[in-house]
Amino acid sequence: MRPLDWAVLISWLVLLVSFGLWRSRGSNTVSQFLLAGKTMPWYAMGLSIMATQAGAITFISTPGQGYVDGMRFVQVYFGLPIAMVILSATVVPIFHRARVYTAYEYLEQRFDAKTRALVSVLFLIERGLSAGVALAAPGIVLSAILHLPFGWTSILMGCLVILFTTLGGIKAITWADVPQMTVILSALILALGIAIHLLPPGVSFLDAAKLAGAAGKLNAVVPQFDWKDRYNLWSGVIGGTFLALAYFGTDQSQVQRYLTGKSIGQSRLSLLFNAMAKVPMQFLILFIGAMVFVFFLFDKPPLLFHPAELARVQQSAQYPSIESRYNDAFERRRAAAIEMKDGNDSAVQRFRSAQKDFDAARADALRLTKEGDTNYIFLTFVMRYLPAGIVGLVLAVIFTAAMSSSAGEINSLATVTVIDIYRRHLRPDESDHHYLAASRVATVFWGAFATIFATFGANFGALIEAVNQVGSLFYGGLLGVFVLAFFAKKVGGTAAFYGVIAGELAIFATARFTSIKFLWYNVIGALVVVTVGLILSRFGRGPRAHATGL
Amino acid sequence: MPEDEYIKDEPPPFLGRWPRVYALVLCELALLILAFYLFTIHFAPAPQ
Repeated sequence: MRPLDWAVLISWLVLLVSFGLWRSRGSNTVSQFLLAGKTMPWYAMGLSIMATQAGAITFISTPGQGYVDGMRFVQVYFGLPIAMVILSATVVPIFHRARVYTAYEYLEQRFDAKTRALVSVLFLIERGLSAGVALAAPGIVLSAILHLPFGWTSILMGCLVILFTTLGGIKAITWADVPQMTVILSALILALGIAIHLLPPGVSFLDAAKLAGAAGKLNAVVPQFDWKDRYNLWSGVIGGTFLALAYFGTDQSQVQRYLTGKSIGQSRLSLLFNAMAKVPMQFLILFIGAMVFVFFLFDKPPLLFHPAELARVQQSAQYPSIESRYNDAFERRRAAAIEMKDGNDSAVQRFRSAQKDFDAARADALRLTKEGDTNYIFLTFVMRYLPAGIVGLVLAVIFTAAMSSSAGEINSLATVTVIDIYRRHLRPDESDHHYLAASRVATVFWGAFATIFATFGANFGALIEAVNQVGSLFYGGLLGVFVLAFFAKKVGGTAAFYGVIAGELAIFATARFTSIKFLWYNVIGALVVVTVGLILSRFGRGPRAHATGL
Repeated sequence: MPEDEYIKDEPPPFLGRWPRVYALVLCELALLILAFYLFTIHFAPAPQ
């Protein structure tokens, strides 16, 4: 990092935090602190929803995914616009009219206290773990790239998040996300432009696309159906719809965003803005990865992008032979790529053969490591090839993206802790001032929890991966109970409660005993909750005692 | 802010009715998937 990069990085951190805090002045009631006094315009909510979802690790790893696996990951987002339309038409007006702070508060209005408590606890477990991951995962990567001790980056981000969220509440988070998301998009476009600009003379944009296509990297749509294939059109449209319905309809970290809207229409517009912008944005990020792949066809990349793992592999006895094969495959691939660029189609077979040998050498090296290097590909490109100032800007964006998603999660955890647990079950009759103080204490607690978790995260990389998978184990259950709440008027609290338990058992059994991929867990879980809820309601003591909303 | 404004279901700022806006979003998705599919086919590696 050059001095200009540090100056840009620090300036951006200070500017963003100051801007958020300035916009949040006057957040001195619970409604202001947790729901921004229900005053937010659609564009601020929309950009904030996008920023919370696009955490730093997405920004770091998605181009790497495009480099390694091609663009098929974009299909995961095909269900998102469908889900946004369904939520705008159904859930948004229901939550607004119920005048709730949390999605789970509505479950008590519709079912009973035990269903609300069960779902709140499921959310706290799932989101509590992922709040730590939101800080830990980018912390690990940034430490390796910047050669800083691991804990430093996580503690720095954690302290800023705690300070920022405790003082400013959701208003500070949401307003800070507006410039944040704007700069993220600008940095992405800049990175794509530079990747194309850095291609050797004579290699046009179309040549680059053809080379990426020949290597199978431009596989944006895979129409063949396969249960065991993580990313295809059908898992994206069907599984992706259920995932997005669960995430945006039942996860408080997202629901809280559009509950801050000044009207139903403003909240709807924020979701529909995401519906229209998200898929092209993900396509752009993955395409950057494909262009970085083409850049490295002509400029030799390191055998492994993870610096520490590369150093480890270099100590092994197999390294000389792997390196020799790797160098040979790279030279053959480069020669074939130049011939293809010049219009010699007969070089395609040699290109593919060299690519296969290149991948095989990398795979042999990766077998000697503890973790993969996908997350390090884009940052290696940024650090080595982007000009001074832009490197600092990209790293600043990654830092603040991690802070943004973590702050949103911590704020939602504090909200559920105070509104659904503390105020509902422990201290129901205190003043607004008391609950505001409790919200700030809960924010500090969850912020400290996430930071401590993130600080220890370096010691168990596999745990982070496991925690990410844990998140997908809960959404099906949450989605199912809200489907019952909104659309099955005859189902009561007890049937819904046991439906959630059955749904969660079904998801855990699917994950443990089958090879079905995670996007389908949400479908399976939601269907089991709804089916069990409907069956139990037919044999139960009749419908719930009280209901609101529909 | 007034509570009635918070729960007021006003029309969208364009296209007049919300179902039309939903249709616009879904049409954009269909067009994107079609465009991505054509993009995939156009740049797909030829069969070996």
